[in-house]
Amino acid sequence: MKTIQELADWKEQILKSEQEFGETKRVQVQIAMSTCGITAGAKVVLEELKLILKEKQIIDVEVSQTGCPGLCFSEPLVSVFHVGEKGRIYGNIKKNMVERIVEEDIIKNQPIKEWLINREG
Amino acid sequence: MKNIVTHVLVCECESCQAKNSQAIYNNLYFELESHHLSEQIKVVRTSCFGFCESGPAIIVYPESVVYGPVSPADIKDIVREHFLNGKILESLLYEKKETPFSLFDFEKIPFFEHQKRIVLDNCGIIDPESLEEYVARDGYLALAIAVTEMTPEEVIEIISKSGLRGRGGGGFPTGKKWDFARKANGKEKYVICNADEGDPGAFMDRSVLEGDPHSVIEAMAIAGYAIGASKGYVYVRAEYPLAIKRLELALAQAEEHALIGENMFGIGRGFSVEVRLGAGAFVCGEETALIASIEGKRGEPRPRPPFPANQGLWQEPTIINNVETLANVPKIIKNGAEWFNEVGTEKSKGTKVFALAGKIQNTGLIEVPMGTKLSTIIYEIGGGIPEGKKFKAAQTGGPSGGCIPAELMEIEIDYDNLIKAGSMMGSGGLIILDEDTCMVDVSRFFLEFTQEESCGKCPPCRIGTKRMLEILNKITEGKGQAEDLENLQDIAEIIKSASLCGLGQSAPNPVLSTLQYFIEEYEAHIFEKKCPAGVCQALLQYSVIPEKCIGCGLCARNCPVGAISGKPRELYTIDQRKCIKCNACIEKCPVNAILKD
Ligand SMILES: Cc1cc2nc3c(=O)[nH]c(=O)nc-3n(C[C@H](O)[C@H](O)[C@H](O)COP(=O)(O)O)c2cc1C
Repeated sequence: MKTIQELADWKEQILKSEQEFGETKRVQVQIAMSTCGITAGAKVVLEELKLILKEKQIIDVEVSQTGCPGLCFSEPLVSVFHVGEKGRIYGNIKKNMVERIVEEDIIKNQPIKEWLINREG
Repeated sequence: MKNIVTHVLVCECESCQAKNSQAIYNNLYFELESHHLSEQIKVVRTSCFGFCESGPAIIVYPESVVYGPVSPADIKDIVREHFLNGKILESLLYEKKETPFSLFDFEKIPFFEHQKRIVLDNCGIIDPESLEEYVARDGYLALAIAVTEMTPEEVIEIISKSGLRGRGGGGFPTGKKWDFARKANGKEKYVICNADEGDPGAFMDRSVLEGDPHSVIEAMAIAGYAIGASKGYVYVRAEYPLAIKRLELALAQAEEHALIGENMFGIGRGFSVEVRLGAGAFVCGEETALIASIEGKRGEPRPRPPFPANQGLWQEPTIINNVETLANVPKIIKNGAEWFNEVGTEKSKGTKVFALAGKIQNTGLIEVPMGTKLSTIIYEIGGGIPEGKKFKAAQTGGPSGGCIPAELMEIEIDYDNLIKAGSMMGSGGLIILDEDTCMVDVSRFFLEFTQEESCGKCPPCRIGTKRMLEILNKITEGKGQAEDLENLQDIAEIIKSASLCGLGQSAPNPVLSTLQYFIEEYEAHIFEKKCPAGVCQALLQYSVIPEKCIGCGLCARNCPVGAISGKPRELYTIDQRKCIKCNACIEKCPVNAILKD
């Protein structure tokens, strides 16, 4: 990186590729994976999610990790973002709850109200 | 040195040049000149930060206001409204297009309603292992601005003006510390990030390193530029493997993209960072002990002065800053000192991250403006005390801090108010205690911790904490005597005034603050041989309430030591000499006929 210019160009390029990426993906799922999240079982949830997506051959969903948003009392946390919409955070997600998130939120874009941490609307 | 306070970036990419950005630059330049504003406002040509479709765009820093698309004819209006009248020219504001995956509304989550996220801005939002995601949120822009457009003195001035104070415990003004180090003479200078985080229950720094490692690296490079150092160390405890992994990954990424390394942004100066692991001794978080540990010596403190800013690592000028302190730095450079010091109280600016723990509904990591009321944290953010129990006290500052009693619940938390209340900010542990907590036991817990962690170098700390712990043990075991309270006070004063480092100087605080606010609890232990909260086992007596006992005999059958005797359908009794206070009878009694007090 030699100049501010170069950094700014790079940022622009990243945003552009995110945009393009948004055109190929419909949903982004984030799982909070810091020490607290992993201790609460986030890794198991992540693996289960990847497995189910693979089994169901869903390819327009991007799965990624984040650090800790601070909601330790609700770990593991799974956030679901549909393109162009505000995200939803689900708390206290166990392995056996992942399938329902895939079926209802990820596929049908229907929030699972009782697991939501953020209020809808 | 010109006193540049504002930067205007004018978009100069190909598509914007085609739309006459050169004329915009020229007009801006002459318009500012004609109003004698060019001394304070610098026009910089750059690319359009991703606003090309609405180019040409101009961005005003530190306010981060984006105008676009603008035409050369708009410049007169922008200069008049924005720079002369200090108002935002709404009609030309750039309208942000949503990114494909927009963030969730943090405000819609009750837990976040009273929070303000500066340090934790990226934590939980970006993928900490992706440099691209950091850059997409203006990562390394602060470093670029600092090294290419500001002098080191200007960087220090902005940090000083922001009012940022150290988040590692002491609250020392960060700009002042950097200024000392800048002015000190040395062959080489160093920047150290203190990620030792030794307070029991604290995990703020770990979360920042795990959630946003680049922000700390960027800040260290800025600090290096400011004081004239080309080498930095992050001292992190080995018990934080994930934080270490992400930090090392981030370092490799930053080096690969030449964001740090040999020649930062072509200025002919570099900065490199090394990670050093600590073995987890509490005293190694103290700055002089930490420096000794990096040098490969025993992690023991030494007297100050000389302060590290003059003689630190390998006797050279060194600044040592806490993770959270550093994480504020890029945001201050990007947004300006005023943006930062608008948040907070008169002498404590910005926010503070706390690890909220103990008897509280929502345990977690929170960031609140300085000056937030303790009651807001407990009831609005924390969701109150579980099981409808009563709030008794909040412990802040870990083993160096003290307890804030329920009467002071409306205290506005900042450095000075906490000290006035007999506690301290510390690094950000915030433990909520409810009515079932024994305050003598709490202070005993913290003293046991400091006594074990005392490095033993100076006698007041080594022997004094031991004596205090012995007295506290006696009191909780029901062997306390009248003179114990006075002895505790006396020894505490000696330890505070005669210890070599902050560990000893602050070790008596948990005891002193509970003596101040909860003296009647100590007195109950000593004179009545009772523990009002029902915690100290030795002071509890189990007895059968005659009116309630139905004579079923379950207690006697479940007592592991045969301390309960009686006949079926008659009153049972407990032999105090045999009872080991294991609670088995209470758990088994179907009619709650056993009293513990
Ligand atoms: C016993 C003891 C333990 C300490 N532990 C830490 C720690 O874990 N993290 C930290 O940042 N500062 C710790 N400090 C404070 C450091 O000595 C130093 O003041 C701090 O790192 C300076 O950074 P700041 O100005 O950014 O707060 C400790 C101090 C003492 C006396």
